[in-house]
Amino acid sequence: MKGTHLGEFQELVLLSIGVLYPEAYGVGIKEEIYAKTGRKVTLSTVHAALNRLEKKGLIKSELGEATKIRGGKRKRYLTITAYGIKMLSESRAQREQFWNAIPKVVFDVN
Amino acid sequence: MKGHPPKFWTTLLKWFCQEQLFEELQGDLEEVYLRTLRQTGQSRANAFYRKQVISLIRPSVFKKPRKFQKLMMLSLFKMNLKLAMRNLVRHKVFSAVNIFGLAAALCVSLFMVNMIYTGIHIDKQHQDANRIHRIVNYVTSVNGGKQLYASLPFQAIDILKEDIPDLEQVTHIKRGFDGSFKINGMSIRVRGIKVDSAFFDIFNFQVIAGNPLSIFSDINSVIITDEVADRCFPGENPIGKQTEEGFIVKAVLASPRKKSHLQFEMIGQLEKLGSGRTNQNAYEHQLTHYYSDYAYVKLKESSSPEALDAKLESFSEKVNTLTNFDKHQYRFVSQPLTNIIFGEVSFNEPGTVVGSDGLVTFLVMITVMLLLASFNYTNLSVARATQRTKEIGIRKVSGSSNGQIILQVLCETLVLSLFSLIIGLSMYKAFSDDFMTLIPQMSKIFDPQLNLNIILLFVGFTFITGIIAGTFPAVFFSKINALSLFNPRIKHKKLSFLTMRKVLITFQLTLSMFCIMFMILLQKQVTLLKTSPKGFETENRFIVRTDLARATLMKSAFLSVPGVEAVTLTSDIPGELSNGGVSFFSPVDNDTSIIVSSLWADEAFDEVISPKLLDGRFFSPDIVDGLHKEVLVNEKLLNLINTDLADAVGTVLKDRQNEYKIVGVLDGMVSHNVFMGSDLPFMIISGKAQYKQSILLLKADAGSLANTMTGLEAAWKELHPDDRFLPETLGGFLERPMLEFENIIKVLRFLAVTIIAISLLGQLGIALYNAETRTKEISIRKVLGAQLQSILRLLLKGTVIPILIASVIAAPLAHLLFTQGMAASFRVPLRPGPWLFIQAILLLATVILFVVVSQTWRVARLDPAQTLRNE
Repeated sequence: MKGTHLGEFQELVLLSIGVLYPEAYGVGIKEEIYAKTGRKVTLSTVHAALNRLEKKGLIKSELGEATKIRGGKRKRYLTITAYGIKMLSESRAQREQFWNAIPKVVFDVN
Repeated sequence: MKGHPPKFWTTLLKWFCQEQLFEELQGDLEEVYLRTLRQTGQSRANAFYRKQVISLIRPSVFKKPRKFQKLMMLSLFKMNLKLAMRNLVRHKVFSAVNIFGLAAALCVSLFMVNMIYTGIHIDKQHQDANRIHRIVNYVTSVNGGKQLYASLPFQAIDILKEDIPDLEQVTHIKRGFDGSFKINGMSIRVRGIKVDSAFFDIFNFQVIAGNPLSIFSDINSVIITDEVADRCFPGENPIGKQTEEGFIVKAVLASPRKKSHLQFEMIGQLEKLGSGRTNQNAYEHQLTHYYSDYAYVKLKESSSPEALDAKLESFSEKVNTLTNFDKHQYRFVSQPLTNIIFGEVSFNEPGTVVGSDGLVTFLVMITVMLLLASFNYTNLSVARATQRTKEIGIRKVSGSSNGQIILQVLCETLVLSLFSLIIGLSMYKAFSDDFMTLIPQMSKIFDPQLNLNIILLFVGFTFITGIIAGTFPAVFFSKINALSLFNPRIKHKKLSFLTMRKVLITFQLTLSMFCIMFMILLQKQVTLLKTSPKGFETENRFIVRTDLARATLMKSAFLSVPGVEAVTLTSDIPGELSNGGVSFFSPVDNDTSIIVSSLWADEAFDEVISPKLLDGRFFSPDIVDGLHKEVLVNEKLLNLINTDLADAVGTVLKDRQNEYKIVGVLDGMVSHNVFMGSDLPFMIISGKAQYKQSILLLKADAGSLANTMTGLEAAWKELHPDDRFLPETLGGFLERPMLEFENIIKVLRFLAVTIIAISLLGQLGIALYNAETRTKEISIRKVLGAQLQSILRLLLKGTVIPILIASVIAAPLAHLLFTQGMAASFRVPLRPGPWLFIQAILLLATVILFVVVSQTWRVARLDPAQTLRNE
């Protein structure tokens, strides 16, 4: 089901929010993803992902203080909700299960 | 600008982006932008910004369409209606002022709209009406005068048929085929035209009875309209009736009144070489008769009006090479049938034409009326704005958008204008019959019957008016800044509007002032015209028309009736002479002939109408009706022949056969009615009435008029057993043109009263508003010691100054327009003195001040202790 499934890019965004805690916001996430994966994404893409995550209830947001660097505009700070943490760990657990199930031989061959 | 992202893209983002997302998104973009700017420079940063904004155009960012579409709109609309009704009821006086003002303006406009509507639909009933054209021509005479004539030289019509292949049908219409029916001893004139058979192929007039084409098989038959049938033969079958000239009615058509620009009451047939063409010589050599023949054509479907005009060009050249006695140049052009009514006005129109000037007049009237009423609405509703700002402010704070406020105010206006429409329509209904009888000229394209289309048009028209009137207040309200209402530190920017209001009020007053001045001037002019001396007596003088055969007998019969003092036989009616009539050689140089108006009368002439003489005597009692005639002349004629008053009597004027000996010079006897400008030269010629009509003028004893009349009627019946006795008073006859003029004045007065009433209502509204809002201010002034006088002066200042300005503008304007445009065409033009204008100003000022003072007086007298008790 698409509604509850966590997409690959969404997972990256979610993880970045975790990394940047407590000051995750649009530009920061974009740069974090670039730093960690080398993927150049537009703010628009990040924003779309954030939008979906918020709709699914995986993250929550609040507006911060105005800063001069942004022409007086406030940032929207994002934090992962408990449900978000659960989704992340479930996703991680699933992958662990797969990893663990792969026979050692596979790694030896390659 | 350095250090700022491109403005355009920011605005674009703001426009499409959801409001709650804009701040963070734009913040993010600007942060990266500033960083890029520092690292790589302006152009890169701009490019980045641009790209990012474009990439943000996606559904999740886009503004969502309002979700409450239909249901919400409906309930909002319902609420708006409810609010509008409540506001109407709560501010009864304001609403009444606005509704009545708008209703008056709408009523006048509805008349105009009806005329325009009817005018536009004229001649649309014919099949293929868009292919029907009229051929008209510009006639240039030798002395260079150029005029558009609707009629053409009849020879041209024949050539037209042969020369231009684009024409499917050509019909030749000839005007001046009049006849009469004798009903109950009274001749009823019927105005007719002659047509050829193509007429019925081109035009579709509804056939009511008989076969119209049958007139072409029988020379002595005619078609009449249903209107004539109803007038002459009510309840009878008109088919088979005979006119006095011997034509038999073969068919009945529906009257073209209000259906076609072409007007006729009777149709006869135009045979080949019919009237006007019997003289072969005239037919071949002269192209001079272009007064009564008309050509209507139907284009072939394959042709176009442009192609027709191009061919008419070479056609004109061909016609101009024909032998032409008067050396006139003709240029033929086509005129689409449906454009005739509001098109270029030409000479010799065969029926109703309003012309583009008329159309413009209608439109200007509509605009002025509605503007005035809209001004009132705008003025009053914005004046009320100060009271309503709180309401609007609260609505705004609780989330109304500008659009919703505009909608609410417009809704109110529309409800109000619908009420006005209801009142306006009932006024329209009540007046429409009067309107028809008041000015027959105007009512030619006025259809009193209301149909669904016209009513829909009225409603649409009202809505447009409402929107125009309501837009300014609506936008004004929506611009109210909610914050400024609740924060006294932010000042209201109302100054500009106050000035505008003053300008509007002054404009209204100026217009009213102009109207009242013009009406007073007209009224004075009418009195002046009515009392202007005619140079002869009209009291107890009567006109009886007879024919030459019975005239002399009739005269002696009348003379024997007791109570009749004198009778004279004349050819025309004094004071209403026709132009021309007699010509003679100029005594100065014998080659040129002079044409003047004339009146033939017998020796009793001076006894009947008692004119005065400057010199000489009246006709000798024993004049012989020979070649030597005695004439009485006026001073104008003496000027024309360069003769002094002293030498005038005894001068003999000659034409080829006759000699006219001047025996007397008339003192101030008028030749024409007052509308003809200055007096014309004329002569009164001794002898029997030889031309046109035989008229008996009677002078009766004032004492026993009723008996005299019965005696006259008995004498008449003896000689005219079939005809009814229809005497007219000379005074009444001469005043007839005046009646028409007075009817026009009535209409003008109606318009003026409407305009003034609307302005007065506006003044009343503003006075009420002032009285209501300034109560506290005045009470405080009183507490501080102001006198009643000074308070009144304060309150009236706002009214008196606009009145003064209006007077200063309107007086010279009215003077100029009246003396140049109106009075110049009368024989006795009014020379208005300043007193008339002062009178007008005083009149209007008194009425306005009365209205205003009636409101302010109440406020000025209020006990301050009462009003300020709760402060």
